[in-house]
Amino acid sequence: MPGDLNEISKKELLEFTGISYGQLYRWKRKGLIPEAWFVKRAAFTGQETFFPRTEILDRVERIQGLKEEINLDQLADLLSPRPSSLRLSAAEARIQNIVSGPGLELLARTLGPEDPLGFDQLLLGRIVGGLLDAGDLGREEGALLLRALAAWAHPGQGQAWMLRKHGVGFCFLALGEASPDPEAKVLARIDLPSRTAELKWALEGGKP
Amino acid sequence: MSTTTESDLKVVGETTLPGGSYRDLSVMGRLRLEGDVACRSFSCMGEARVAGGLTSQRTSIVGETEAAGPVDAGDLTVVGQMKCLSTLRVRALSCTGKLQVQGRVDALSVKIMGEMNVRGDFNADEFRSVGAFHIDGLLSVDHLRVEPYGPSQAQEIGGGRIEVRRRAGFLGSLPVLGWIREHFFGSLGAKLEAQVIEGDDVHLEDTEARIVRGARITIGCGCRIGTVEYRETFHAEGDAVVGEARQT
Repeated sequence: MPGDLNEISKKELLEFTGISYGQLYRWKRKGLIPEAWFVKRAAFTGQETFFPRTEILDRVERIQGLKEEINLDQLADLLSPRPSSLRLSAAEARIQNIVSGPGLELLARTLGPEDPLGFDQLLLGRIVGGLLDAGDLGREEGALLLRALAAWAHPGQGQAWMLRKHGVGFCFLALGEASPDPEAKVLARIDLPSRTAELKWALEGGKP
Repeated sequence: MSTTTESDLKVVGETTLPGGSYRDLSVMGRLRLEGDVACRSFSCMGEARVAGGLTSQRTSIVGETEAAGPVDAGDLTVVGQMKCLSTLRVRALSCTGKLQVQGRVDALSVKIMGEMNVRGDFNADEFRSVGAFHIDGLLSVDHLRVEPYGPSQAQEIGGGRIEVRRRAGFLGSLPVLGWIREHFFGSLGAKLEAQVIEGDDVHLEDTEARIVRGARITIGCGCRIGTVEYRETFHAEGDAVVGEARQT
C-alpha cells in the first residue's frame, strides 16, 4: 500500500538518493538490484513501482560506494545471490564450518570428487550435511536429495521436500505450493532461497 | 560437450545430427540438431532446427533457424527468420529480417530494420529501431532511438535517454507530403505505443503512452500522452496531446 513505511516508491527513491532513471534501469539490467524488489502496485497516479525500503537504500549505497573501484560486472557477481566466481577448497569449507565432514564426504561420493568447490556445491553439501548431522536423513536418502538438488533446473529457488513412506525415502522439488502425500512422513522441508542467503552470510563471515 | 578438437561442418543436403561442438558450422541445406550445439560461427542459409540450445561467437541467419533451448548468439545478424523458443543473449544484434523470441533478451547493442517480436523483457545498452518491434515486457535501455516504420510496441520502456523521432523520409520531407502522410497513411500506424515510459532525457514524437515520467521531457508532434510527470523541464510541441502535466 502506498505510504507503507517498509516500502519506498520509485519516485521517492530517485529523489532521496539522487540517482537517475538511467542508473536504476542499468543496475537492474546488470543484476545489481534483484528483479523481485520491483513491486508493481496500482496507485492513484496509475501504476507505480515500490521497493522494500531498507534493502533498496542499503543496496544503492553499496553500489555507489563500490562502483568507483570495480566495474559493474564484478559488482554484479559480488552482489549476486549465487556468486559464480567463488571457489573454496573442501578442506577450507570444513575448517570454516561451511560444510560438515559427512556432508563433504557424501558430496564427493555422490556427485564426484571436485575440489575446489563452487557456490552451488557448497550449498548442496551444507544442506545435506546439516540434515545428516541432525540425524534427519540416512546416507542413502542424503545421496538421493543431493542428486535431485544437483539436477534442479532452478538453482537457489523453490523448495525441496524429503519424505519417507513405508520406510522408503523419496524427495521432490517444487517452485510454488506443494502438497505431498499426507501419509508420508516429512523428513525435511528446505527453503532454497533462504538457505542460499544464509550460505552467503556464512561465506562473508557474517552470521553463522 | 566433447573436448576433442572441433572441426568445421558444412551441411549441403539434409542431415540430422545429435549436436556437439564445432568450429565453423554452415548450413545450406536442411539441418536438424537433436541436442545442444556450440560453435565459433553459425551461419544458416538454408533451414536449421535445433532441439537444444545454441552457443556461438558469430551467428548469421539468412535462411530460417529455430532453436528450442537458450541461444547465446555472440554477434547476431538476422536477414532471414529466426525463432528462439527460449531466451536470447547477444552482443550486437542486427535484424533486417524477422526475429521472434519467446523468453527474455539480453543484448548490448541492437539495430532493428526489420521486424522483431519478444514475449519477455528486453535489456540492451543501445537500442535503435527503424523497423517494427513488439515487446510484451519491459524494454530497458541506456539509450533508445526509435524511428517507427511500422507499429512498434512495448509494455514499458525505461532508461537514460529515450528518443522517438518521426522518420525523415520522403513522405515527411515537405509539409504537404507530411499532411498527406498524416491523413492517408497515419492509420498504417508508424508509431510507438507503451503503457509507461520513464527516462532522464525523453523526446517523443508519434508516440502513444499512458504515463511518461522523467527529468527533462519533450513531447512532439503526433503524440497522445495521458499524464506527464517531470522533474526539471517539460515542453509540448506541434499537435501533441497531453492530458495532464505536473512537476514532481
